[in-house]
Amino acid sequence: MIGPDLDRMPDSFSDSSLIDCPSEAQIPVEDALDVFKRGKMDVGFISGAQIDAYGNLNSVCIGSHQKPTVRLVGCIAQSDHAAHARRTMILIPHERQRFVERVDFVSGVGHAVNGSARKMLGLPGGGPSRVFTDMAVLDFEPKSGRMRLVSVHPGTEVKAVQDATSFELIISGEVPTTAPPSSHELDLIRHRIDPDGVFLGSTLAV
Amino acid sequence: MRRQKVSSLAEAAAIIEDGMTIALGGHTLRRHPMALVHSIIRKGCKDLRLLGWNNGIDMDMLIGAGCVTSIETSYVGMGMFGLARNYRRHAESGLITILEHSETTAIDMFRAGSMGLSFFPSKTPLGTDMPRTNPHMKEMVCPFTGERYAAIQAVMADVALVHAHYADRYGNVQLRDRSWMDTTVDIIMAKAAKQVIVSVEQIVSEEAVLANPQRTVIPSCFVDYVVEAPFGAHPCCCDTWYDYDVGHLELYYAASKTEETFAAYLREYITGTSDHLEYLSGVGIRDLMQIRVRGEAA
Repeated sequence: MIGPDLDRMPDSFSDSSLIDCPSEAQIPVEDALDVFKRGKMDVGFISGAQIDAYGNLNSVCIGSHQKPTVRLVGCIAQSDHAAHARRTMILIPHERQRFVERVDFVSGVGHAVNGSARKMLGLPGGGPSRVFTDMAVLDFEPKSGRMRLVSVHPGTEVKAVQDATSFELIISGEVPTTAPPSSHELDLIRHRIDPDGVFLGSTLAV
Repeated sequence: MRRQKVSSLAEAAAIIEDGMTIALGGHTLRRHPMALVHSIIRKGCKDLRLLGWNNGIDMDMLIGAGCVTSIETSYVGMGMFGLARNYRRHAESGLITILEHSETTAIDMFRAGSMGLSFFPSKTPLGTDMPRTNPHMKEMVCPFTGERYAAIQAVMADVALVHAHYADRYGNVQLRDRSWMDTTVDIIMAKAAKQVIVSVEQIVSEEAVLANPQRTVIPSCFVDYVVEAPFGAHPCCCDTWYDYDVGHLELYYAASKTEETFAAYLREYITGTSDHLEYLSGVGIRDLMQIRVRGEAA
C-alpha cells in the first residue's frame, strides 16, 4: 500500500479491512518488495528471537536446523529488510538468551558474519543502525561492527544491561540516560498516530 | 469442443499422488485452499513436498495429518495466535525438512518458473544461513557487473492449489474488483505448476466473465480443474466475501497443542466427514453466517 490514509489505520496487516483502506495505490506484493531491491526503502523495522554482537538476527530456529529445540516462523521479510533497507531499526526484548555471541541461524545479516563485513558479502543495504530494547538503546561501532551501548533507560543500571547480554557490549565512558519522550511526542503517539492502541497495545514476540 | 473443467473436490484431489510437489496459495490465514487441503487429508496422501510463499493453517494441518515430508516457504505461523504447533512439533522431532526462504526469494522461485527461466537472481540470501540449508539457492556472480548474487532455482510444482472468488466452467478465474496486493503471488504460482486446481466460492456463467474480463486474474489456459467450494477457505478469510472464523481458529489452535487432541480434531472435522458440505455442517450454519462480510452487491 502506498500513501495510506493514516487516520484510518487498519488493525492488522492481514485484515480484509486493508482492502478498503483509502490509499494512493495498492500495488502487487512483489512490486512492493522490489522497492527494497531498488534501494528505495529508507528504514526497515525488524525483530527476531536472537540477536548477536554484530546485529545478525534469527527468526528460524533455536538449536540445530535439522532438529531444533524450538522451531520458529522462518525468515519472512526480515532477511529482505536486513539485506536491502538503507538502515534498519531493531526492536527486541533485552534478555540474556536472546542477546547471544552467535545466533543459531542467520536469517537477517547485521554488520558482519563469520568475520566477513556485509559489504564484502555483497549486501547493498546499510545494516542495523539502532537496537531498541526495554532496557537500553544500542548501536554498532563503525570500525568493528560490534554492538555498543548508547543509553540506558531511566531506572536501569549499565551493569543490568550487560548482565542481560551474553556477549561483551562496547561501553565507553559515562553512559547517558535515555531521554524520555516529550509531552508533545507522547501526545502525538497516543492521540494522533495510534489512538486505538494498535502498536501501543502490541507485544514483541517472535 | 472446448473442455469443461468443473469437477468435484474428490475428483480434483484424485490427481494428487504421494510424493508430489504441491504449491499452496494464500497468505498466513487468508484465502488458503482449505477445502482442497481437507480433501487431500481425507485421501491420506503421504510424503508431499509443499511449496508456498507465506503459510499458516494450510501447511500446519497437512503436516499434523502426516501428509508431508518437506516444505519450502518463508513463513509458517498462525498469525495472531502464535507459532503453528503441528509444524513446530514435527520440525522439532526431525520429521519434516524445511527449506528456508525469505518473502522475496519464496516469490522468486515461482517467478522464475512462471517466466520459463531456470533461476532468479537475488541478493537477499547473501551471508545468511539460507543457502546452507536450501539446495535450491547457489551463489553466483553477475557476468556484467561482478556483483554477488544467490541464484534461486525455478520451481514447477506438480500441482498448484488456489482458492478464488469466481470461475466459469472453462477455468477463467476471477477475483472481486477490489482485489488486494497479496493475491498476486497466487497468480504467479498458478503459472509455475504443471497442473492447477482452483476452488472457487461460486461458478459463474461465461457471460459474466466476458462482461468483466478485467477481473480475470488466471485465464483458463493455466487452469486444469475448477471446483465449486463455498466457504472453501474456511476457517481462513476470503477477501471481501467472509472474514476469519476466529472461534474455529481458536478451537483448531487449542486442538493442535498435542498429537492426541489434534487427532481428535481431524476425526471430528476432516477424516470423519465425507465431504466439504459435511465439514461445513460440522462447523455449523451459525458460525458461517456470522463471518459473512456485509457489503454492496458483487
